Amino acid sequence: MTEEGASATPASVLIADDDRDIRDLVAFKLEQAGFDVLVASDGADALEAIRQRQPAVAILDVMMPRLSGMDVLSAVRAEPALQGVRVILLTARSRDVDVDVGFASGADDYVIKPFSPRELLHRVNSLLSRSP
Amino acid sequence: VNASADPIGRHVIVAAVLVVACAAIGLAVATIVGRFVRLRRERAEAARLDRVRPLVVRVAGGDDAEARDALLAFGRRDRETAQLAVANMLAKVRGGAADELVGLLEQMSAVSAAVDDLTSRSAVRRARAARLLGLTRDPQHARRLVALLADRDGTVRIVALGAIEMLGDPGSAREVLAAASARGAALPAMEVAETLLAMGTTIGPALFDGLADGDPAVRHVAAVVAGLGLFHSAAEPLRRLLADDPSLVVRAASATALGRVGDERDVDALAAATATGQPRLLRHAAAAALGEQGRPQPLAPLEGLLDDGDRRLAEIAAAALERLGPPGLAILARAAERTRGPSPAAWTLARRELVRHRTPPESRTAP
Repeated sequence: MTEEGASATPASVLIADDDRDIRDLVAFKLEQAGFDVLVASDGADALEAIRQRQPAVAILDVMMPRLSGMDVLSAVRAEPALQGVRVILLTARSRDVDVDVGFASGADDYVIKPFSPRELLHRVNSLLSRSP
Repeated sequence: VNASADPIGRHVIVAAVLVVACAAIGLAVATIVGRFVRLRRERAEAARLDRVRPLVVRVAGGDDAEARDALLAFGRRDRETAQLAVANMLAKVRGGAADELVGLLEQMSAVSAAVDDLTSRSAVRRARAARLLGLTRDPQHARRLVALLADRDGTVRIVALGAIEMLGDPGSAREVLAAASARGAALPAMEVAETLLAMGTTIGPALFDGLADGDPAVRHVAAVVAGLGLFHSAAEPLRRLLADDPSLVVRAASATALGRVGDERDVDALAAATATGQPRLLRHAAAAALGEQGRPQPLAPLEGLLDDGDRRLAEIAAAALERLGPPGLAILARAAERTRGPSPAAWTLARRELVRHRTPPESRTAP
């Protein structure tokens, strides 16, 4: 998959963030690149969407209402059926220890806010290209 | 009051009641009308925001001339809402998306208007202008924002400091450091420190001057930044401050900083700072700093603090020994065995065990 467009069957990507600006911007950028985009505004909805649709990549904000991104990540990693879901944490938590905890909890990538939408798209593509 | 004997008094009472009733009704009507007007205004603003947001998202998402032109064609009110939406989005993105949004603000003349607003009589306008200029991340605005650190309004000064942090311009380091001074802007130490840390490693010369400043508030911030920013070349002036600065806060901050940028030469001075009779703040800072050394020399002085009468100091010493790895943990185990009961050593080991059980096996570090 390239930045400009998806293959015949577009991969699905979930963006979960309680900030409408970020949610809309990431969704716009992903749709522009040809992905099938799922959107959630809190952790509980995100987990439900992941269980139902099993997106190829889930981009999770860490601090969300109802369930945090870390809680969603833990739940995803605990369910054998969801092992194929790649997770990118998108968060304002920028300390080294936060990044360490994110990766130790099973995140495939970690993007710090303020973020570059273009760079985030590259990370999604990179994860997909590494998928089995 | 006898009403039949005093008709004038009765009329006065009736009139007073009527006046109060009218005033109450008037107040209620004004409140309802006020709320209605405010609700209508908020709904209109929300509707405007719904119109402009998708366009702002498109501009941030890439070079979208159509969306940009649509935003530029808006009337005054929609344009003000668009500027607000752009500023809000700008705070969340960087890279090409930020460049697109800054370009849009410039085309809307919002940046030049913000420069003019820095001298507005309204503190709200000055603060809003400062935030916008910070969001552009354009270092050419640094001088203007530095001037605002002396603003008569405290909120404007804080917003200006945050804007300078967004710019990260090292050329402003001296003025920002001076803003911590009680004789100047007297801005909060940690806010000033965070702004300086955002400027990178080229602020060394300004930082060294700050460590020798006559104002303890400036020396304090400089010491904090020297430690957090890992300015190893500041170790020597920090040693002098720890030894004989007249300000206890500066001595404590220097001890903390030496934990990060010092070496084995500092163990004796830090251990001496934990001695009984030293101020509590300094003892705590020095004990924690000993745990940051990562060398075996602090083990003995820290072990001696585990039974200190200052329970908090004993807890800090236990945490410091834990950070020093296996030799420190062995000391904690011996102390826990010796004291039996809820000692700081036992508590630290129990907490450590709890954390280990909650951490996934693959991410556990050595004991």
